[in-house]
Amino acid sequence: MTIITLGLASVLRSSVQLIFGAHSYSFFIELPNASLEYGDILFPSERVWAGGLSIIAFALVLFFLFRTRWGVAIRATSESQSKAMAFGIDARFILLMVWGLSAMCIAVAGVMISNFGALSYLTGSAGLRAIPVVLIGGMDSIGGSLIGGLIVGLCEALVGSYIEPLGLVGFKDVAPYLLLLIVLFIRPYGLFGTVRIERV
Amino acid sequence: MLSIENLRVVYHDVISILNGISLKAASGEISVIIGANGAGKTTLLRAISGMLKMFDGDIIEGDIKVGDFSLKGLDSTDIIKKFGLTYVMEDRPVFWYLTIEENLAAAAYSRWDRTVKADMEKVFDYFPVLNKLRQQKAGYTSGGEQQMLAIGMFLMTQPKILLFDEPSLGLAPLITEELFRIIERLNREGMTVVLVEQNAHAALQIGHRGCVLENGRVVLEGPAAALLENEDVREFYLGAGTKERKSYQDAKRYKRRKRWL
Repeated sequence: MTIITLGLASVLRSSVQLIFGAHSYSFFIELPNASLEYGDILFPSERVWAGGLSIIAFALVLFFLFRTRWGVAIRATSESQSKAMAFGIDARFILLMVWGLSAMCIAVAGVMISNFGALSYLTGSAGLRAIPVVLIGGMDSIGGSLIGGLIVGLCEALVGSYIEPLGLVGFKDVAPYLLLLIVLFIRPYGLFGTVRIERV
Repeated sequence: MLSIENLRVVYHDVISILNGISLKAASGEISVIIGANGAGKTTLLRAISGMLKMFDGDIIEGDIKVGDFSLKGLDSTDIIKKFGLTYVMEDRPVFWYLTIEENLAAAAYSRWDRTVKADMEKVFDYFPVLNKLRQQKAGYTSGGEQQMLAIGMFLMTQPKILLFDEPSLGLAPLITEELFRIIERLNREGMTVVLVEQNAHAALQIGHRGCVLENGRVVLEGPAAALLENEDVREFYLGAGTKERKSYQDAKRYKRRKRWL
């Protein structure tokens, strides 16, 4: 499924390029101004919106996973497909549902990211940044991905403003992966990866 | 009535596990299947419950029927919904990372009626041990509690037929006894049970009928009481055959096996 998804991504990217061309469009959603200012720090309006919406999306996903019948089924299936099948959970449907759910989350993220400025067929590659986020937070930890996102974001911003001016152009994009490498050396399951239940 | 007609099953298209099995499990009875490791007991249960695809197995011949309806080619989800036939896998098939309550809710996934909550309370009545552990993750409970949870989850699917794979696996004798009492009680309340067991003695004592599987074939079938008395079964499966001690060298299982076929 992962491979299919990657393949689908390149098909979509190329078809977008074919239909809309390779140049960028300007893209703004009319949203009420929500910029915040604390002393020297300025949070631009669209970033505040993006942060707020992602927290809402996060809460919705959490609610779905922990409070609905499908959520229980998803968590059961993620543990063992065969056990889930034996108790009447349609594992294939659950996989498709999770896939659709992630696509929905990505759609929200995509709109928010394009709202920062330009929209082009390359906007989708921002999704690659999710890899260090998820791995640093821990693959199976939901709260971990939130913290991981903050860590990676801060790391990128700090490196961008303090290290890149020293002459290391583009180091901003590498820094999260270096961080990921260090984290994986120390904690192979990520910072908040679930403790495996082991029976002794 | 669950009937299996000349069933042949292969894994990965080449490994032949069941070589033509015919069996009948009458409604309201406990049918016990015993056999050595690798005889095909688990495969048989997987085939009946529609789980074979999951393990890359295939039914190449024969049929499985509940009443007049064939189960062949149906998914496990359909089989549970339409026929109330649920397979409790071996080694305590509970979800370790879910709490006990969530486990029961997950098992009730295929149902949409309003009685799920009430049924859950019924399960807690049935197994008071679980009541205290409701919010506990199932992975942290003991083996006996997990097996009871597995039965509870099974009950949540509103079943009529129980396929139980080795309930006594890795459990203390006392707990095993309790489990068998529970199975007997379920049976008295009208459940059809197909029980696969290594603990042949205990299983045959609660069973109505029994059969012995060997190399994917049924080699012996009959009322459970008769099997308990059978010389060969006593020697090979109950560990109490001839009086004098034998060394393995003299046993010559292969010769005795031949007589059965």
